[in-house]
Amino acid sequence: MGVSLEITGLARRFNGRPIFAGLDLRLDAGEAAALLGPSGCGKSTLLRLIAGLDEPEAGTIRISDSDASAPGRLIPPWQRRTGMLFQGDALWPHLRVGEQVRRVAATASQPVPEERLREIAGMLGIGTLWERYPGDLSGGEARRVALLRTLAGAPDLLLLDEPFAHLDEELQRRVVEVIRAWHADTRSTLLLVSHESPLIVDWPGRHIRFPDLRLAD
Amino acid sequence: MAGHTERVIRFVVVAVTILLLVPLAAILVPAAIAAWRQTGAPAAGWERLGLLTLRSTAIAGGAATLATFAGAGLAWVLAARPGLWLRFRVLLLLPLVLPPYLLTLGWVAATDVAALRWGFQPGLSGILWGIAILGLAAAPPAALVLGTFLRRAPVAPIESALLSLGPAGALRTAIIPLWRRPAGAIWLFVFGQTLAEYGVPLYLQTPVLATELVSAFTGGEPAGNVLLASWPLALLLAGTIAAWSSAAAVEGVSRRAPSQPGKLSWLEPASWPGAWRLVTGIGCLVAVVGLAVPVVGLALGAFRPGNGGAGILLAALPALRMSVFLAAGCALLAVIPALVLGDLLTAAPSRLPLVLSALALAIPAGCTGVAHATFWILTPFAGGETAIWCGHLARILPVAWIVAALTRGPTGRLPALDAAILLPGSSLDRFLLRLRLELPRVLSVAGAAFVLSIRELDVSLLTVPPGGETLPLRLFNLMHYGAGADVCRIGLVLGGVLWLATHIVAAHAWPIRKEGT
Repeated sequence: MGVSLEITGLARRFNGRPIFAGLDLRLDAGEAAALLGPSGCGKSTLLRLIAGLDEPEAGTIRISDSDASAPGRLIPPWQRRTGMLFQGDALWPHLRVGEQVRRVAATASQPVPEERLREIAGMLGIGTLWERYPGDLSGGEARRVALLRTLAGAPDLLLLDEPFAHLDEELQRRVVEVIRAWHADTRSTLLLVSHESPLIVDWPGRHIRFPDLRLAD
Repeated sequence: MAGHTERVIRFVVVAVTILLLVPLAAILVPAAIAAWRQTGAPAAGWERLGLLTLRSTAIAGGAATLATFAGAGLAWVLAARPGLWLRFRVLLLLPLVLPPYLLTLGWVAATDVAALRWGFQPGLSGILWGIAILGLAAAPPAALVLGTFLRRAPVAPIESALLSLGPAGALRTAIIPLWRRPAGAIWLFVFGQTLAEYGVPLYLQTPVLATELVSAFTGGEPAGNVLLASWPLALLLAGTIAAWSSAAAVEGVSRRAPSQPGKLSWLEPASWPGAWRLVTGIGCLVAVVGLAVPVVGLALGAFRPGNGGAGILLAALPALRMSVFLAAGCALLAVIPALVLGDLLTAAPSRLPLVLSALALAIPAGCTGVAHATFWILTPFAGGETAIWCGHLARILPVAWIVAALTRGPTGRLPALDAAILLPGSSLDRFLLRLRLELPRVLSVAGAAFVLSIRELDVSLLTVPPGGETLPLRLFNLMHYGAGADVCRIGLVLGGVLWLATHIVAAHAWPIRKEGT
């Protein structure tokens, strides 16, 4: 079940240069939103801040009505019940695909049965890759394996950073279908980050354009 | 290939091969043929050989384990505090360059202080002291390598493990697999280097394979027989280094994957499981205390009232002058071959150059010393200092070209350098631009060669001509009379020169840059 997300006055700089400042965003529990913006505008940084992998310089991030990141307070990433698809696929090079998925699935508060995960793998076109190592996968296959692994953790808040990278149009469509089906099943809160793309136009949830969030820079 | 002309590459490869192999082969092959013809020779001394092998393996194994454990602890604690690492980088590099015999002198001085203050004097001899001194001396290089792997590792797999599996799961799934191979390679490397070390075991009166080799040569045994008798040491070393090069090659291939370095805010020490913090904390403490005791011991010993006054220090000046001259000359001579071979090593798609480099590293210092001391007498270059110059170069070159390969960048390519090579314009312009771009790397290689040469004892002991003396040799000879104030002062002078060289190299090759938030 999804959680609410509320961001107020968030600010972050890199090498002294502000990436964003005074950023506000609110997602209701179970909402699925797409955050759009050009390269380098700070979309991935925002996801890292929400996941707790980075600290904001100002502002607060509230997850499920409790302060996850606030001045003097930072809930560690692993206690936020958040799942994140990283821009780099972040696969563990020494583990087979099946082992990666099983290891994350074992940590879920409501474990997803392996049959269901194999079914999703089939939908994503990676059902036959269960015994492969990441080094043997193409860029597109690695992207879909990373997505499957993220979903296996059944997170309450799902953060997807460029889920369509390295995929052709047909595969992008399949990925959208899987994400929509997953969201309909679990009602988890979902924030998807992407460039402007034709597929995103059909995204059923709210569309947020990144520059609209930037109150000052 | 690798930005050098075929002619330069061919010349360097031939010259280095001659330097490394011809003296050895010229002494070893006739002795092997003579031994082959001498049928029915009794295989004497198997029992002693077994004992020496066992003792050598025990010291090398113990030292390698201690170095890896303490180095890993130090690397982990420092990785969580990058500011500390940068601020104290020269201090951290210093134990890296301090030779084991200088640390031994520091331990002797420290035990003297303990004896004077508390009436407690531990006897410095035996296998355990060998393990402690050689293992702790190798802990900083181990920390440097493991810390580099941690800082250069792609961050995303570690963060994703942390996010989905928590700290304990991230340790099992991301950190330990990341460290497993480099830690194995470090273990094997220290094991190999310790097997070949004879200065410290000799001082600790603990005979091992390497000390037997040198004792036999200095005792009047023909050089060929000495080299032939060193086969157990050569076999152990070759096996170890072959395993090391194999591990390093596999690691090198996996390191070529595109990496995405990032901020290590997740290394916040309090996040990790208590058992992990305890183990790495103990490792760090062992490394810090184990290095601080001999360094402080050396400093305290040096400031005690001495017997010889300034006389002993003045008498050491010619040895210091010769050491500096030799080291500077070796650094100048080694830098171009090392850069060419380093480039060749990173550019080659096969493992062969790495395996050959590793085998060059595996030649025991004693064997290099014996071969050069004997070979050059048989040539028109007999007399003078040919043996010591060539012996030193043969000893430092394999390490220098591995430094050159490592400083070429994590992916084995320098895009800016490649661009400079392709730049239109005169060859002088390209040369100057290339020199500017490569300056930090040239300094690293020259600095490594200088430091390795000025601290070199094993080859000096066998090749320095009568009437000549290097500073390590003078120090080592004086150490047999104990760690008096004057001996400690000479040790401090050597330490000071090493610190100065390290400081200059670190300031240019590893400058502090302001970090943004």
